Amino acid sequence: MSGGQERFLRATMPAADVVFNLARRLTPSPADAEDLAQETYARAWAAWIDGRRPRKAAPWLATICLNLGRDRLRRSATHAEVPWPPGFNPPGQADVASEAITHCVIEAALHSLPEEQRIAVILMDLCGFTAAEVAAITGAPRGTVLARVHRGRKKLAQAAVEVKSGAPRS
Amino acid sequence: MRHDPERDAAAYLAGELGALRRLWFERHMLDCRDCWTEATIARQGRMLAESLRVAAPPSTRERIRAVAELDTEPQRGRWPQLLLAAAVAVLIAVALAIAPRLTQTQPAPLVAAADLQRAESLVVWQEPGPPLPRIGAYAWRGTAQEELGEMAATVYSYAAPDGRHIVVIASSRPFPRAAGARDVKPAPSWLAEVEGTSMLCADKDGTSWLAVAADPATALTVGRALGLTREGR
Repeated sequence: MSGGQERFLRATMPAADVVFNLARRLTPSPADAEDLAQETYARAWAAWIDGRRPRKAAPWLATICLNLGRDRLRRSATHAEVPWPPGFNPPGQADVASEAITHCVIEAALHSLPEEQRIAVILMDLCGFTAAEVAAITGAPRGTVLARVHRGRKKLAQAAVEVKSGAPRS
Repeated sequence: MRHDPERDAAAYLAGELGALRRLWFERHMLDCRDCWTEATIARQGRMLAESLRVAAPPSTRERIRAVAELDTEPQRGRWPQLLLAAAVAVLIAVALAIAPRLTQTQPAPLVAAADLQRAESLVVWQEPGPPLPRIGAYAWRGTAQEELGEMAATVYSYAAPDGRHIVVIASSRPFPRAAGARDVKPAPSWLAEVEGTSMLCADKDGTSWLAVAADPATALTVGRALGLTREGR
């Protein structure tokens, strides 16, 4: 492995979890997420070879991943509805009305958020970016980011409570 | 004191409140049902979202590593490397002899800017709100935040119907002057050929602007349209 490859991987591999978490929520399956993560790094590596040296690798990779993921969604015939995560039954079906708030229920609640709120929650709470970084990644003003993530979080909590209590969600 | 529970709770949970404001808000929440509810529910939602974090599987990490090991910078034996080095040395010598302009070393931000103009696809996002105005035949495609050789910059991407592409770059720091640049009005604006592109650089209202196009006439036209220069058609 060359010095350039080592420097690239040293700079970008710490962000692999961030990229995978983002890719996982932009795609319908872990396999697709893996493809998207790899494509993200391929684009980044090509840019790196061309001399790009971002100050922070994680926001840079997240920006690439988000753009690629959105392109995929636009191209996909399933843009309107990314399939529910495997093993999950959408809220309202009988077997979800249990007392436990499962991982799948939270996934589904996240999935049901409006796109801008979902992206803001994913970037801040799953990827760990600050509001300023999310603003830079998404191009939205910081105040807008804060409002989106806050409303998204509230809906997540509310959905979890409703599922836990067996109440149907609108 | 007038307040917005949603905004204050969002800023509080994001760690965006200053020390005094945070202290006030923490005390205020004890007496304000709305703020307490906002912060509590949003905190629960944050915990739920955080519980979804996963680590990238080993297979993903292997595929990522494979990306950087593919098709570029291939491992070479010693002799091919020496031959390659010799060939490069000869080429450099020829270039030094017959093309002095090739020896000009351009500042890294300008080289990166030229790369952006030549790139077929720029990583962009659409800004909220209506599209930015056209520049002549060029329509705005999107905006990106970029690091150009350690310079933070905002890059505006434009494209014409025939596929031609320009970028307009703004930075709070002044762009370095290109080697071989000529002055254009008003000073200290300049026009230069950099890495196969034409660049017009000008300062306006405390911002340093760089218009990058395929030819000098287009760069000047863009500069005039933006009010950066008086030269050009």
